[in-house]
Amino acid sequence: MAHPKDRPRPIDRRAFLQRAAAAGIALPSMATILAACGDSGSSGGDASASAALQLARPDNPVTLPISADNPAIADGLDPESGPLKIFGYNDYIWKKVLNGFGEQYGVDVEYTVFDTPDEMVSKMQSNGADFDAVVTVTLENIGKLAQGNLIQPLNKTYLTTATDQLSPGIPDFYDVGRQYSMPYVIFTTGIAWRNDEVSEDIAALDNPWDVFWDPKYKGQAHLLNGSRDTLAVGLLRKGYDPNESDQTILDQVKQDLLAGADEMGWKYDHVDYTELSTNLWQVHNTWSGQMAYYQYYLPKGLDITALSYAWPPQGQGGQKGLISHDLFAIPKGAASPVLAHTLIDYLYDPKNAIANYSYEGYQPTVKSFNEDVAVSDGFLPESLTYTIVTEDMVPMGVSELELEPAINQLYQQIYQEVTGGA
Amino acid sequence: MARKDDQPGGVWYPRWFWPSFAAPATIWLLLFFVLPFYVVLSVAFGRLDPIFLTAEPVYNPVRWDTTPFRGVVTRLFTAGSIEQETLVRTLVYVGIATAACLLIGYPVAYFVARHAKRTKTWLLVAFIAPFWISYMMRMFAWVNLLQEDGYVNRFLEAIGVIDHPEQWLSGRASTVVFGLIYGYIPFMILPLFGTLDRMDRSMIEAARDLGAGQVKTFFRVTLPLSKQGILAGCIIVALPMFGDYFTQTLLSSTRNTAMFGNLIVSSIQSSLVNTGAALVVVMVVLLIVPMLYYLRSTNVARELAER
Repeated sequence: MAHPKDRPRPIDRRAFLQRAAAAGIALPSMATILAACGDSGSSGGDASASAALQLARPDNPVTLPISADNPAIADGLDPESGPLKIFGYNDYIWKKVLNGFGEQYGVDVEYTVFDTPDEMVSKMQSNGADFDAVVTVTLENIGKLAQGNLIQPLNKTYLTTATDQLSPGIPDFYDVGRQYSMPYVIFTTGIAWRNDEVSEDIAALDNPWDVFWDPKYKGQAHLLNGSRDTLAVGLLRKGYDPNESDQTILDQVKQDLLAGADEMGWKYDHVDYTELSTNLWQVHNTWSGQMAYYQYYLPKGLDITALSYAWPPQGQGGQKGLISHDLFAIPKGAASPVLAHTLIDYLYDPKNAIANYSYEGYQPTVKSFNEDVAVSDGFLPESLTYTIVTEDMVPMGVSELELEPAINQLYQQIYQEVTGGA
Repeated sequence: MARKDDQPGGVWYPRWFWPSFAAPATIWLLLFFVLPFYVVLSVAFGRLDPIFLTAEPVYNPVRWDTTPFRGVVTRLFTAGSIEQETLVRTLVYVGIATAACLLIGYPVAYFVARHAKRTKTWLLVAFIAPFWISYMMRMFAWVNLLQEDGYVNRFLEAIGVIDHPEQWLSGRASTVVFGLIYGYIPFMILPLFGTLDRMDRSMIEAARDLGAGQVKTFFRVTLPLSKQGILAGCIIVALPMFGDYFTQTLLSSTRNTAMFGNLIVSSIQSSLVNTGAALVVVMVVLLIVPMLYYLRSTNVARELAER
């Protein structure tokens, strides 16, 4: 037997501990590696749908196809015993309202959160059947989810309240006949500003979108994060459609956005209400529904009247602006589809819709809801009535709609270049 | 098959007995590093779903498509590309922050190891205590401290350093680097403290006996002997900094301060997931270089010590 000193020497204790510590500390940098695994799920969609993908536009309404292997549920079924599994944005339905639903139907309600529409689509592909209801699907995704067979057709016999209460001004060109979706909330996308710090009336400008390039607001201007919303600011500023697919125009807008990003030091987020306390912005691209949150996040000494909101189509310049609504849908293969229908119908009950609004801030698409109800019932301060979307505003706005996949990817490439990944 | 322990009178163990102690760590690495990394490779060299633009990993290397990866590498060498800008910026931030951690951490570790005596343990605990709170919470705290009407501006105004409140959170490189230093400095101090505390004091006494002054003794004896600690500290600090994206997101979140980690995260959260996975591969290759240097250096140091 060889002398111990002459044998190949295994790593000693001290060296092992040093290297283990180094490896252990280095592991956090591997978080991004593990994060990259998150999107590796296999496709659950129908790839053959790519050839048939129809892009819905107001002047090109689309009736989404219903395939034989993905029918709506039968009439007259009893609600399942649950649990009801909801997939949605964080806090997008008030927990108290969900608890009320659970108590009424004797079921548990579970709520799983997604952060972005892209994340929602990705999880719907890999685990869509794990959920019973999606709250919410954005307009640009409903077509691909339906044509990719990731959601199931709705059975309207379970949606009597919803059908009765749905505000008649909400368009359905993206899903003619609402075969797969029901609207949930409606909102505009505009510009919020601190009128106690900003002297000019942004709503009165010829082109309110210019404020995001105005050096006065350098370091104090925030855009909404996400490729569609960020590019929309650049497109709308120049009077283009937010669904523009002309590469020359997109390149021109990219240059404008790059110049703005470098000169203005934009930040990109959708937590404008939490940033009120840290005084981080003077001008913020935001959603009207978000503005209703502001009253709950005001720091001491700041009154709600110090905040203003402009939706450019209503301004003096009559510039283009975004209006949109989010949708309910039910995944194909959902374990409790009857309960999911029942939830949608429950949330269309005016009593529940308004209770949900009192916490949620985003306006329900219920016809009995209006500015008077919101103010007289004490859910909305008089100074925030500009966040209410009225029927006459719907045709004034444009929506972010589905894009060709290659154009969609181009939008995301431009967004990454503009934000630098920030 | 069994063999007797080396010690006289020792007991017999099966040949697999001692190596089996490494099994948990080996399984852990296989499950949580090797396997996920292979998935990353399969995404980097895989396809995208034609409608949903989500990743379709290709697990068979024979069918890997190298186009997206080659595109990333090409852009890394293209002047003005977002990839190159971000990589260079990250190297600069990490370099400055690591150097600052060393410059701040070394004197602290030196003092605690050599002069603290009975208060040594308390000083170490006091120094590490803030880091019992999560990294995210500490960065949120700095968001409040650094805001326009925060305590940092108030203090600097009070002592006359600034005339008006500074916008520390509006996309300043200095704020991001500060955040990195603050977040990672304990990981520099601890290995330095370990090395300095274990240092053979007779070497220092010998230098002093031979006529070297305090400064000369430090530069000729203490510093060279603490090289392994410095190297370990730098590696331990620099590697996670390189993949950090959270600090920038909270303290800046602007294009002109975006780091390589931000680029990866934003890619994998979009349809650019192939690009994101390719960037991860690039990052791992870049990080392997200093890690190999460190391992080689420790081996050389050990061999020298054994002579």
